[in-house]
Amino acid sequence: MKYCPEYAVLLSSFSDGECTPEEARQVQEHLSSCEGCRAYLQQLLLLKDAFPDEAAEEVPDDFAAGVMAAVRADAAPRPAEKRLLIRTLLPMAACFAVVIALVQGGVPGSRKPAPMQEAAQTAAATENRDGGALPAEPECGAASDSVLDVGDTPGSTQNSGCSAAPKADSAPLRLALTPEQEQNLLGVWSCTVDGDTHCYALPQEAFDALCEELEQRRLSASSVEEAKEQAGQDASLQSVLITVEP
Amino acid sequence: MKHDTKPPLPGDPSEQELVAAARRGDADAFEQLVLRYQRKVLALTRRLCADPEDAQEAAQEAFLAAWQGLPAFRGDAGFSTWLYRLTSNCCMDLLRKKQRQVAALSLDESIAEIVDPGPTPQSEAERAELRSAIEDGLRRLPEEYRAALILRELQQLRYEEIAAVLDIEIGTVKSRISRGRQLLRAYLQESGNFSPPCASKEAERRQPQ
Repeated sequence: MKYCPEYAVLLSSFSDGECTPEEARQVQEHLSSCEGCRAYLQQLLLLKDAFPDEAAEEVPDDFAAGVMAAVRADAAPRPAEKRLLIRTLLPMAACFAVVIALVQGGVPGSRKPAPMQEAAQTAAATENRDGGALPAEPECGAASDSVLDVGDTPGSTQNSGCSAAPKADSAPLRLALTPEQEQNLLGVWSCTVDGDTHCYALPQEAFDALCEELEQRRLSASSVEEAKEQAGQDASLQSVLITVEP
Repeated sequence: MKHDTKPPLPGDPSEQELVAAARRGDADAFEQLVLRYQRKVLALTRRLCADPEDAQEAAQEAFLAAWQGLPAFRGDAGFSTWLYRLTSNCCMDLLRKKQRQVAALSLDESIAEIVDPGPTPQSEAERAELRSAIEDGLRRLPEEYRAALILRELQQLRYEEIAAVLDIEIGTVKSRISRGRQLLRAYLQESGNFSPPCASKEAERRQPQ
């Protein structure tokens, strides 16, 4: 007896346990009176039983190594592993601090966004101007490793980290590793804008939270010198991590 | 040389953790994923591609594509589903590029008409022989049927998952699997691997020599 072609798909699904209860009932009812379909189902089950087994698959010893060689070669042009943060150690006012993060490279698969490049030029230029330290104004009295000093309000006279004519603004402080990954870490804080450089004034606990977050991601170094050391002498420290929402 | 890992132990990083780390560029985490999935991926590519070297190349391509595509992987499908999809695509691309053709079975109903009650393999040897014949038959299936059937039987995926991997409707999954089985069964009967010791004279007469 031949099986019933119109039942082929149902029988196949039935053998996989993928029928709806209604379909299963229909199949069982049909099977009770159709020898051909019973035989067909039996053969389907036999095929399933004898089917090759994935667990028996042999994997060449060097397969994973071959894959990882390609993976690491892919990552090499982008020095994705080193990201460096230099942070202020001691804010001037009791509760405010600001941070600029420097990023070298990106994550695999990401394209280096143009804005980061522009910021890189700003950061690099600023660094050169200050002879190796980032926009730091020693006369503000911050610790030697400080990156940027800001007073307790943007635009205060104590603040000489930013330009002479800062524009005060409020903007969400976001930590962006790549354009695709955005994390709104710390809410909305005051920000002064000087060209491409954004200076945020944060309460101490917010600053601490940010530093902790960046440390967990292993993004921090304690000084420009250490950062350079980690990055390598010829590496260009680039990019500002903190962006302002447009 | 690293050996294929055993199934993860409770203390091991979860797949989710590994995927998250790999997304951030952690190559070591990605390597753990490679070790966990290499067997499954190779099982798939070896049957989607007839040639063993093609299979290995496609498998490596699939993992590399996964590494490069991870930042864009949203995780709304499972990682394995996504990886299998990449794998299937890599195989299809490679087959097209190298213009590998395999003889395709045509669904000849007259062959399939030879119906005898399915035999149970009497011994391990028979079972192994049947398994080997199934491998042969798989190679001759049209790509689409083969892919669906392999994902079902080898990777033990639910129809829903297969639909996600192959980016097709569930109805299409069902029909492709069914057709694949029909063709496979026909091939096995034609090659003599599926005919039982027959009881009835009628069946005896019908059997191909």
